[in-house]
Amino acid sequence: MQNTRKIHALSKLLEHGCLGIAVLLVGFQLYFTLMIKLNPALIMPVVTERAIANTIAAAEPLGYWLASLVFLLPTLALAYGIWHLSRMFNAFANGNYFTEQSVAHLLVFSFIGFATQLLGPVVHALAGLLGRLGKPENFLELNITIDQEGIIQLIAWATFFVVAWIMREGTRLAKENAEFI
Amino acid sequence: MSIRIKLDELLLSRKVRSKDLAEFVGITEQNISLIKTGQVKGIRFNTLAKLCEFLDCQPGDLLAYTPDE
Repeated sequence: MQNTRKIHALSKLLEHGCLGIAVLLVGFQLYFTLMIKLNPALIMPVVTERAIANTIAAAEPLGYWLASLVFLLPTLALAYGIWHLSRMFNAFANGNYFTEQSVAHLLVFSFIGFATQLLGPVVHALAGLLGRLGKPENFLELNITIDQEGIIQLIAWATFFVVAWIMREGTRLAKENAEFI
Repeated sequence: MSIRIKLDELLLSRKVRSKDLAEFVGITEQNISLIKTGQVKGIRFNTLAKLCEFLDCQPGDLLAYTPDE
């Protein structure tokens, strides 16, 4: 099997895989958000952010919806980034390996990944704050926590974003060079 | 475009074919055609040097500048 055919087959697979992941990501997030309120006992053992999940589960209706919405935003952003990744694989499948267009999709994905990682602690803190809406106790308590794992992930996303940005410059220069005979 | 490449005129005056020129320079006939019609953004110095060598001319003989109106 020729490499181009392998790339085509693999890219098609990854294109559809990415779309599936994006849909599952949003679906699971919605499911978790609803189940936190409807059946917390079922969902709590598998939730990683248990403190915020507890706050949201115990929130007043307005606080619950606002906190859920804030909590959903990074997932929606990441799903949008994964959709861009899917478009990049679509471009690869069509033989546009490192064109400005395909690298632009990678750049959007890496930027969204970096931004969600960077804003993650703020989103969590905000969701916790909104979850306490209407409850006088500890209402103004705002906890922003950053752990070592989060910092490493942030560095990884930042590196990925910078590499994608340099690749975009590289493709732009290559395109310009190709216009010279 | 204000820079025009007078390749057609030189080919006619030297009575040589585009195909031979393309072979000598090491580019495709399609690219020679693009140079002739001015549809390229630029020419590399080594391409220009090869063109001059084959046509026995100076770069100035190949290029003409016409101010934009």
